[in-house]
Amino acid sequence: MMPHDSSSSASDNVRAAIISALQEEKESKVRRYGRAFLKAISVGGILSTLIYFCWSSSFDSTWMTACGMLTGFLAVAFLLYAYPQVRLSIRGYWSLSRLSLFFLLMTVVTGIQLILCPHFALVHLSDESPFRLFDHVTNFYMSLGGMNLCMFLCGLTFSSIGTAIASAPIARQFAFSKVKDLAFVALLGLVAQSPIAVLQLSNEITIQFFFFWLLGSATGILFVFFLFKKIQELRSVR
Amino acid sequence: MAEEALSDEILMTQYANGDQTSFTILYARYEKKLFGFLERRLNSRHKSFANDLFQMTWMKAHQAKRSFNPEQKFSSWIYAIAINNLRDYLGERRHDVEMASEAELRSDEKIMNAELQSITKQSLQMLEGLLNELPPVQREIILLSEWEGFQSKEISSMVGLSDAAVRQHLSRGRSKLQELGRKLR
Repeated sequence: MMPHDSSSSASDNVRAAIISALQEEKESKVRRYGRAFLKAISVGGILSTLIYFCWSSSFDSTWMTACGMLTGFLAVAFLLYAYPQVRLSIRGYWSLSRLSLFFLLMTVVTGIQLILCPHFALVHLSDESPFRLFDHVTNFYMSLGGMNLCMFLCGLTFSSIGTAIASAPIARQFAFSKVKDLAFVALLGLVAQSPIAVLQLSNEITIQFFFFWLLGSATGILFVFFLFKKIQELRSVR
Repeated sequence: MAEEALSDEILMTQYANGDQTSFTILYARYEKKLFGFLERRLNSRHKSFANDLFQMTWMKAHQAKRSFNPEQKFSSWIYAIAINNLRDYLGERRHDVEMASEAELRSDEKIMNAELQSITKQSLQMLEGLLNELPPVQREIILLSEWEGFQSKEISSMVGLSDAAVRQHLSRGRSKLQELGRKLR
């Protein structure tokens, strides 16, 4: 009955993935987790340095907290990903490796969002930033409906793009995912974006519009998830 | 090779302690059986889930390998994981998890010639129809007993029911199948 065509390759994948997991279990934990920690420090360091050089004149303790959070999240994601486990991509099943990979990518995307669009934290530093890609977008959103709509649309736009980028490598997972699982992954996405929230909540002006950004961001993440789910399920049926 | 003569339970214990060879032997023993078991429970529209469920079963077995009790039968343990996965993964599509069609049930060794194929086809079609008349739990227990060849005690540990309850389901299921069969004649 088995191994024929696709099931045969699935069988080979399982065997190889379990053998690989057994080898991971034998590896020194100190070396394994040490390597993961170093990766987190490196990526976090690069992102923090870029943020600092882009917004050095506004780089205060809140920005430092945000950068610290980014590095901390990266450490958690890298360590969970390094945990010895069977690394298989199964449709609809969110294993630790898939969740940690998503969290890792989403945290990196959050760092990039802070580099590209610090307006989330009401920093008007377009003059000093080398990346002035989204000024016209912000101006356009502001012209549509002021700060409320701008924050909502910014949350929607950036979170949608960011989630799409972070989800692309694990797109297969979305097919046949249960709604409660997707809600949990969306929550994870919002946690990864919390450094942006910290910046907004620390400012007496942006704190007034925080709810609109959060609403836009959550809508963007969920929209992309259900879009990916639909596309992947249609591809599976074909 | 001496290891190939070892029981499933010993191999599983060695695998739980990190032995790759034991895993490879155990995997070779069960990959076809387990895949077939999952495939037979899915209709043609959901056949592709068999791959996912197969992978998930082994992944969960690996995660739970240290909790394996060597006094327990390995086959019961791995089938219990597969059944739980099947229930959980397709729980939302339970109405679709009907018996596999006749074509899916057909296996090469069963079809010796055209005449036999014709008989098998009819019998399996009839069997499929009859089994779908049974409640899901009864159908599962009948299949595990009659198709997979498990004893009632083994089935009870797989489906989470007492041995007496499994025997009762088996008895009622068989009676109902006989009754349905008589009506069809």
